[in-house]
Amino acid sequence: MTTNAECRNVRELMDSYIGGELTVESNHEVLRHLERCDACRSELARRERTRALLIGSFGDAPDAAVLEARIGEAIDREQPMWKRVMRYGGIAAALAIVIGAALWLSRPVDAAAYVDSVDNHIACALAFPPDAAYDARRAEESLAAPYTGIINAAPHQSGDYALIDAHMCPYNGRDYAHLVYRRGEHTVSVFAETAARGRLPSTHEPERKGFVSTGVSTGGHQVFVVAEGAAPPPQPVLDDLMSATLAFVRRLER
Amino acid sequence: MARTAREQFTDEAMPHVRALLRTASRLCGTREAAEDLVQDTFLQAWRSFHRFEPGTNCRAWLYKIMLFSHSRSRRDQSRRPFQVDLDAAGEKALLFEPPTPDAITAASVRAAFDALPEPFRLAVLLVDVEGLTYREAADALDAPIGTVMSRLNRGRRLMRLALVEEAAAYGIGVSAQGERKRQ
Repeated sequence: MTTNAECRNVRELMDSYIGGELTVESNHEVLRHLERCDACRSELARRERTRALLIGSFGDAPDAAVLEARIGEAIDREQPMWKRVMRYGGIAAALAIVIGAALWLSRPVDAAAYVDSVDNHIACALAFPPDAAYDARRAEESLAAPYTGIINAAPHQSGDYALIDAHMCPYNGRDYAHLVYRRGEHTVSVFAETAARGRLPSTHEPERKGFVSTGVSTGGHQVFVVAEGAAPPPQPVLDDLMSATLAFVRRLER
Repeated sequence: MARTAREQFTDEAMPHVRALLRTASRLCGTREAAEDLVQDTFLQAWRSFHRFEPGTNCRAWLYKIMLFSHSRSRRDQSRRPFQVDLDAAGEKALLFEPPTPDAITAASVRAAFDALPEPFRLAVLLVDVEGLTYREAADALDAPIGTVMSRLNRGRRLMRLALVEEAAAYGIGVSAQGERKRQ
């Protein structure tokens, strides 16, 4: 016996089922329903036929051998130019590195960078209720450009730590993109912000109020991972969170 | 021995020429325009190949370059920004889940696809026709995965709605449970 509500739910999932994009659990749910429901089996057959007709309406994949050869020749014609650019570019790049390093070292130091990341972790991340769960819509609405894509770049699960929220988090004149992860009573924050106040200090307190903050600067941005000093997540989790966020801000800088 | 960038490009990118040409043919309408678009795409990809991270999805990266080039050339041609009111276009599709009629033909399915607003059409083209995963399509369209899934959902529903309307015009209806009946 099936109900209209079950049918509606299965039909919502049906296209993803055809495309093989469902989780194992949802896939089983659809299969179980299809075993019992003639109407949805018929609907599935019609949708599969629609998709097959759509694909068929475009005809066979075109022969691309001639085009492949043309592209290969065009690339080979470009290569000598690029080699020249590389050769002369090498000198320019060396000069740029020297000038860049001098400018970098003369930048002001963002002395409160680590302190603010820990204090905001305490003020914001630890205030989430124990049963807080990730809400994709809330996260999408709470983030702002250029950080909206961070929820797709960051892992939603790393080890036993699950993402429970992502939002813009103004704090002490900073504008952090803040990702909050949790495992039971243990909470970890990942902050990304533009490096508007200068470079990271070369030394900082190893632990503040029981929390440790690890910071990395990419030049245009700085990323912090804040965790409990006494019970930090395993190193692979810390590396995972840091590297995914760094990859995201580096893409912003391209 | 370390491979040259040219060898890496040949191994990583060139196997996708045929798939991109197939999509480009669908985007551009003519074989000549499609070949030009694909050649431009591969030259751009070659020039920025140093930025490609080995191990990441080369196919999605190439699609991203091609779709960006295509939309830019369309904007240049029309001399005005390309805009579609996606909310208004998709609103109709959210009202109910239309069942698929029996009496469908390749021509009617294609007409329903061609009538979709471009963002929906691109999502359906990449996932349902070209077989990209949701993740690959999101990378190719440079959009959050949730946005791509929403466009796909609305695009597929709008197609079904168009097919239902066409079937109804020929006097063939479909009940809420998908059973066909003569009106």
